[in-house]
Amino acid sequence: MAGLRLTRPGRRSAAARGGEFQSLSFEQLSHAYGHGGDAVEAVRDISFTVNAGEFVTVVGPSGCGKSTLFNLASGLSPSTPGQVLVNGEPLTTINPHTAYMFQHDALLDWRSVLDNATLGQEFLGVKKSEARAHVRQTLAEFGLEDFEDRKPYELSGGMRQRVALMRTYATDRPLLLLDEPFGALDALTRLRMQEFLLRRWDDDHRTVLFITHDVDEALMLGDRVIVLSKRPATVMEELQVDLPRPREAEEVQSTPEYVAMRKHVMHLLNDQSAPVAQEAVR
Amino acid sequence: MIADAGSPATATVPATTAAERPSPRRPRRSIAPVVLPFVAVLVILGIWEILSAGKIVNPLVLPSPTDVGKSLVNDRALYWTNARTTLLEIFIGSVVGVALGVLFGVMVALQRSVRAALYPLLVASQSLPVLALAPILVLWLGFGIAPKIVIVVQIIFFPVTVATIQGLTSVSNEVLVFGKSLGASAWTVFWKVRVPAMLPYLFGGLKIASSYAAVAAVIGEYTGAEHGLGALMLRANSDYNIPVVFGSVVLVTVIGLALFGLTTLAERKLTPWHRAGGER
Repeated sequence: MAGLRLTRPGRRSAAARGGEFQSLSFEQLSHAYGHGGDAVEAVRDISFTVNAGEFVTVVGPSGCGKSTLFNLASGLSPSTPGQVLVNGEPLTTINPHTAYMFQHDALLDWRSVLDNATLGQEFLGVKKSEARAHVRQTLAEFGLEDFEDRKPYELSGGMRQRVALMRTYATDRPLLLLDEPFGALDALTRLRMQEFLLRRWDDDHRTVLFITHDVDEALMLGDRVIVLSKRPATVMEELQVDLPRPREAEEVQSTPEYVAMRKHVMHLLNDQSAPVAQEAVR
Repeated sequence: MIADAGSPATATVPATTAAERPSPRRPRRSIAPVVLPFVAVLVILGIWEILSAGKIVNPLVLPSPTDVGKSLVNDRALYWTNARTTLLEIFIGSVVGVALGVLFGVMVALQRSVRAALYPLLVASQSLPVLALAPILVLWLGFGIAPKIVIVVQIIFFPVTVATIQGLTSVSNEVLVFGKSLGASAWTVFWKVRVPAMLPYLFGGLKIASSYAAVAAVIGEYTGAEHGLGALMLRANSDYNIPVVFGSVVLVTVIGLALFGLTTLAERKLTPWHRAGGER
C-alpha cells in the first residue's frame, strides 16, 4: 500500500517538498511565552533526536509544555534560544515534513468522512478530485470504507479519531506529530486506537513523534520514550523500549521488562525532586 | 493511568466493531408543532371576532378580523401599490445591508488593525437612535425610498456583521495549525474552512435581520413617505379608517414572517450539518 502511494502519478513527492526526511533534532532548546517579567518558560534546554522511521513518544505531566515542542518542530514557533535541526540543518521556515494530529479531532462538520480526510491534501494545494482519489484508497486501511459519505456527527469518538488520523496520514508527510491524539477517548477505545496506530505504523514506518501523559501509552507505542519534567519541561530521561513488535497490549504489559520500565517512569514523574536514575531500565 | 486490557478479545478487535457503529438518530417528528400555532391563532382570532362583532369593544376602534379581511380583499389595489414600495425598500435594504455586514465582518474578523479601529464604531452604529435620525435622513435624501433603505441597512447591518465575525473566528485552532503547518494559504483556509464554518452563524444573524427588516422599512415610512405600508397606516389612522391600519399591520407581519421563513428554508438547505449536528 505504501509503495502504491509513492508511485501514484501527479502527486508531489516528499523529495520535491524539501528533500527526504532523515532526522529531527532539538538542540538545547528553550522556549518561553510572553516577554520580560511576565514570560512563562515552557521548555528548558531540551535535546533529543528523532530519526526517520522511529516511533518516539514524549511523556510528561499535563501542561508541562509538551505541545510547545510540536510548534517548535513544525517551525510554527521560532526556536530561540537553541535550535531545531532537520536533517542536520537549522530549521528557519515551516518544517516541510510534518503533519499534526490533535486530541480534539477538529473535523469539519460540513464535510463527509472522505472530504475531511482530503483536507490536508487540499491545504497542500492538491486538487480536490485528485485528493479524493488518493484518500479513497486508504479508507479501507482505516476501517472507514463503509463510512465514506458519513458526516462527523454521525460517528463515534473512536471513528472520528480514525478519520483525523487518516487526514494526517493522507498528507503523505513523513513526520507525524501526534499530540495526545487518544487523550479524550475512553480506555477501551484508546487501547484499540493504539493497536490500530501500531498496525498502521508497521505498514509504512512513517516517523512518529507522539505526545502523551499516559505512561502505558508511551511505553506501548514507542521505540524510545522521552520523559519530561513538569514545567518548565526538561528531559529527565530518554528510555529505549526494546519490547518486540508487533506489540499487543495484553502480552506486552504483563512482561517483567514492561512492568519494570513502567515503574521506573512512574517513579520519575511522581518524584521529580529525587535524583534522576541515569541507567535506563532494559 | 493503567489502560485496562479488558477481555482477551480486545487485542484483536477489528477496526470497526458493532459498538462503534453510529446508532440511527433523528426521532420521529410529530405534527403538533405544525398544528398548534394555527390552533392558537384561530383561538385568538375567534375571541377578537366575538369582542368586536359582539360590540363588546367599539368596532370603530377594534375592527373585527372579518372587517380587516374584507378590507384586504376590497382595497387590494391600494394595499398592493403601497406594499410594492415597502417590499422594494426591504429588498434593496436587505441586499445592501447583508453585503455590507458580511464585508465588514470579514474585514474585522481577519484584520486585527481593522478590528481595533472599527469595532467601537460598529457598536456605536447600533446605538444610534434610528427614530430620531429618520427625519434627518428625509431632510437629506428626500421623501423617496432612499432614507427607508438607509434605515433598513442600518438595522440589518449589525446582526449580520456580528454573526459574520463570530462565524469566521469560530474555527478551531487545531484546524488552523494543521493548515499552517502544511503551508496552506490564508485564501485556501478562508474558503475551505472559515466560510463554511461561518454559515450557521450567518444564518443566525440573517434570521434576526429578516424579522427586523420589515419593521425598519415601516419606521422609515412613518417619518414621511408618499407610498409604503407605513405611510398607508399613518394616513388611514388619521382618517379613522382603522380596518386599513390593521390590514397594513397584517401585511407587514406577513412580510416579516415570509422573510424569516425564507431565511430558515435557505438555512436548512445550505447548512444541513448544523441542524443535524446540534452539539456545536
